[in-house]
Amino acid sequence: MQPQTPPETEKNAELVAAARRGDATAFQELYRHHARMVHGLLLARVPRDHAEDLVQDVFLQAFRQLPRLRDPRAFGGWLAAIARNRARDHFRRSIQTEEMVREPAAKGSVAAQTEAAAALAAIRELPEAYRETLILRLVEGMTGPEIAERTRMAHGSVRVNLHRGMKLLRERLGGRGAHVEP
Amino acid sequence: MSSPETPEQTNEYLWSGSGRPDPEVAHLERLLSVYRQDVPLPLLPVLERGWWETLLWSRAIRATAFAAAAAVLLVMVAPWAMRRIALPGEAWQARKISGAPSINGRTMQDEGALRAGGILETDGASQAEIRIGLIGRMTVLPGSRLRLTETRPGRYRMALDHGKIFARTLAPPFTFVVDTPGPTAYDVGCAFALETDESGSGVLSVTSGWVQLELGYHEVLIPGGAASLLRPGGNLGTPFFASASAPFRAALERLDFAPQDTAERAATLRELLDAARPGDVFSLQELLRTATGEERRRIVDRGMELLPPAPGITRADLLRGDDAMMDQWRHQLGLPQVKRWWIHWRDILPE
Repeated sequence: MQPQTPPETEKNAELVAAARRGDATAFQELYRHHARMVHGLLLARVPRDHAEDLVQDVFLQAFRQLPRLRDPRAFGGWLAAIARNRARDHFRRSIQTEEMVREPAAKGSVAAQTEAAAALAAIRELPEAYRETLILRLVEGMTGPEIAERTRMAHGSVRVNLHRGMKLLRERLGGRGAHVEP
Repeated sequence: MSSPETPEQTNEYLWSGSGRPDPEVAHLERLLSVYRQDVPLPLLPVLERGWWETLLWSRAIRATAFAAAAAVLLVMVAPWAMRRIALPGEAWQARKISGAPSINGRTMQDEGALRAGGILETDGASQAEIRIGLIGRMTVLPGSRLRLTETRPGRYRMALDHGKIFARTLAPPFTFVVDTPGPTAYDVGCAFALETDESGSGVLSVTSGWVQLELGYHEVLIPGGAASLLRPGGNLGTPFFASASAPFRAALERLDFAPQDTAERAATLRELLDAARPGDVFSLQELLRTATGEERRRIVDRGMELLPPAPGITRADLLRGDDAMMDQWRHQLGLPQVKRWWIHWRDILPE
């Protein structure tokens, strides 16, 4: 997977400008670029089936508020903020640990489902910054540079979050279901 | 858990996904990839139009052999299409119903055009009807002042400085927007009456469909048959149905807008819950979006009395604010589902 380069950020800015002018394809392209990031940020906070619904909500809200975005180059960070706010608003009254129990089953064998649910639950118990970056990396399959570019975070911050988060995750999974199969 | 081979390899693979895979990270990647989703992009008005435009042009260019047939088809379709696509900057057509409404200070004759930046006013004896681009109509009642701020495909925005309008639209959600001195009303495809004074005091009554009110970071969806009070300040009114009793409405207004200490608020809540009837459960459920602690317990208990939750929904679920359970309980009210038709909206206009 190739990391998103600064020219791609410029390209995003052009897409935002085009979308503002009513170019449908441009908004579709923005969606294609950022849907995984939005899904990951939501999945870090809300149950899986809610995250899928909320992805659409976030893009609808972004679509509606696009004229208010001052700097088109900040689209990724702005979209991430919308996603975080939307998830917070949606889930502010829920107790996450209890929600996890009813997390819809993932695909695969029962053992894999159980292990995946345990791993996801463990990630969600991590501090927010680690939770987000690990979900974007491990669930959405984004690389560190991609995460940095699309969320508009500093590379160093993402790198630190990934490594500290992974360290904590290893410790927590040490006593739980997820394990490395030979 | 097995240990990574070296910290450097672990770091590089975790960071960039390249180099020798850290077995534990790779395993988690495989395991968790099942949660990855390809969520389809919701249908947006601009996207729908863009898709058709793209299709139309690509066919026109490539299918030269069918040019004559396409031309005939276009001739047949054009009048139909033109009624459905508003041009950027197109004026809203206004018509006098009674009295002497004015546009930009000039008294209207029978008809007039309201352009972006324009102001339409009615005095105490005047009424006017406005065609909202091509998506609907609006009646401007006596004593109103409205400004057209934006008109282009996919976005019709106006400000109601004071007065009352009745609007009916058939358009994608959030296409028609009305700013007031208080909150902003987003039409989610519906008919509604909106009344406000200069201070932001008024009421929004939804006749059919849904309207979303937004104020700062707060938002509330009001279904057909319900209303929401507008008051100066930073709060939105909890929606209530027309069947709500006067004591219920009065208590709800105090809860939403009046500054109260804890004891006063508790007493007001008691009045509200005593006055609540089955038709008020929607309002109680809306209050639960922000209620906490003892207030939450009392609202849940009264709500459950008035509308017993379906099997599988427990009091604990509702106290905890479990989204799925709250949604199921809300669905028992039989209100139309916003999201379903919002996402699957199609461009069906009345004319």
